[in-house]
Amino acid sequence: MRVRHLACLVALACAVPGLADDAIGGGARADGADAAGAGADGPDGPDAPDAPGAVELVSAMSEAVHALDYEGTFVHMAQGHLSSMRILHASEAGGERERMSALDGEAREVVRDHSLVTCIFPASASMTVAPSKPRRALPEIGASLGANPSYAVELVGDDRVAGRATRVVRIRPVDALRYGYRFWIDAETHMLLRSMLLDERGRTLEEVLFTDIEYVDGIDPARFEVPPEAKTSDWLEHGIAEAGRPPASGAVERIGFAALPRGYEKLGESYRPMPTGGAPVSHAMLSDGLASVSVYVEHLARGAQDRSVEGASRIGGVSAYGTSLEAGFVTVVGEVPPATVRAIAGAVRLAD
Amino acid sequence: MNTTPTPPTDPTDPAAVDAPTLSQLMDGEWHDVDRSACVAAVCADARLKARWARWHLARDAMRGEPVLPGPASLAARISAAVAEEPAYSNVRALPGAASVRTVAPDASIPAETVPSVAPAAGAASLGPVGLGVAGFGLAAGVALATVVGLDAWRGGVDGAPAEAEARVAAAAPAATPAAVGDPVAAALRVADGFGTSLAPLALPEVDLVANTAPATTGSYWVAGDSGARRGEAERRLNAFLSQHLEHSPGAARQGMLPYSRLVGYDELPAGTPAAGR
Repeated sequence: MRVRHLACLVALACAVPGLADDAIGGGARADGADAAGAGADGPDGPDAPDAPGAVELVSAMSEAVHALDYEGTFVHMAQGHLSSMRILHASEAGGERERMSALDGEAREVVRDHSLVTCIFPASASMTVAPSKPRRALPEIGASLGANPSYAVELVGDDRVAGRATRVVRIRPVDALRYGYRFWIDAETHMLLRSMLLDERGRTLEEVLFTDIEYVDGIDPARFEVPPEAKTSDWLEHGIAEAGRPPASGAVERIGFAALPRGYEKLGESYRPMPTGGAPVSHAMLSDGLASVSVYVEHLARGAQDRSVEGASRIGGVSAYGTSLEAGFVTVVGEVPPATVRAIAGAVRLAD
Repeated sequence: MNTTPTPPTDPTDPAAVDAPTLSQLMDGEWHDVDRSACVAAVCADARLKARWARWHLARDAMRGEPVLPGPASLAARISAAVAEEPAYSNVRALPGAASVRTVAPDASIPAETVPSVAPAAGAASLGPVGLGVAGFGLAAGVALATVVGLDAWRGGVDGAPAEAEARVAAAAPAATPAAVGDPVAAALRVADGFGTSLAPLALPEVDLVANTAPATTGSYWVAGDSGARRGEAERRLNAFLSQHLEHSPGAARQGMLPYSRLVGYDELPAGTPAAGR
């Protein structure tokens, strides 16, 4: 019942511009957003110094999300759509296990363990399987968040989420090339309990809100198993063969850039098969120190290209842009504004 | 000395403060209301207080104004208001219901008598995401219905434009209840963009919308320019997104619990019957 009520109110907030844009979103009405969202006033305005602890909190949060064992329910809303989900997360010596299940609508699930990410879509009797990547192997972001010139990080107050005391951190971009964030971080465990992605006008693009969470000491591995019915022959399984294959070497550098939007730089590149099958693609990862953008290139002559994703697309706070080059089709995906993915796509230069 | 007109009943009695009176109080139409007594009555009655809060919340929201800044969180305040207000009493569940059907009289209002709704209807036909201002106007109009059927306002997304328009025409006056039964008033109310006030009549009777209805579930990849669904390209975009999430160094810091996007995603093409239900 509690979840139901929260779901209702989030739906209302999501559907009504006054709520979504101002009371929650911050930005142009940042003070109002703090009052409504954070529940306490704090240092505000562009001149407010970075409060000691904000950067450390975000860093601790980043670690806690992966290191803690927890079980909880959260709601995710984006572009007027609301989903409630159950999450199980365990951190073991071998890596993480995670199970996320939709509680409404189609019983979609993502199960992630040490080696595989399995996305299950029962309504269409399909699932995708791909190799998971150990978090510790992720490329490090060079500059610390506090020293990142693209963002201002500050503590804006205290609040409660899912019955727990939280510290609220606001991360504001300095320009329109990236989005802003607001994090509600558990004061005790540093778990992220509420998160907002805000556009350049301070409107909420996506929000995740825990309605309840329980920190546990270990979770039975059986609870992370993929349901047997998802493995029947009726299911379309993509990328199983590729999943067992070691990823191709990242030494292949075929994607270059003429001029990237300010603050973004290329972190690395790999050449790997896609979970949906088909020819391998080049995948370059870009970041501005907080937001990340993927650039995919399918190396096909123009006549052989699938151009169905050409142009701009978006889902929630994720923007995509597809463009055709003579030697390949470029798709850029990231949690950044549409103009940014478009600029990055336009900057791609392919090596022969 | 008593210069205030005496109402027919004792205004301090909560039972005497009916919905129209509360609306007058809220709109500042105090000429024939003993406002002090009414305020006292409202303050003394939890149900009236909840209704007062809810109306203000809705009105502020529809005007795009900040909503009741205060120490309590927005969630707690709305949750409390929803919990205290018997807003569900007129809801009946219909097994298998897959669309919103508001009950007459508002459903009888022809779409053409609600001219200002047309843009919203157009926006609705674009998809759940390409809403823009008109779409959000629509969202505001059905916000109350949304309380009982979370996906109600997206119901028209995949339907024919005429169906969507009819649905909007039905939903809009439902959200401005004073207009119920009066098409002209309905049109006028809607014409100013839901921005006048939320007048005090009971919520429209609506069917409970199943979250599992294919036409009402999911968020989708949409084209950035038109807001139209990406259709067949969605699977491809999802594959890219999945890879992006798995390899993104920022996924943890961004804190959107990366795979929630995919779990929350509905890959069903419009009208595809769901399996296993």
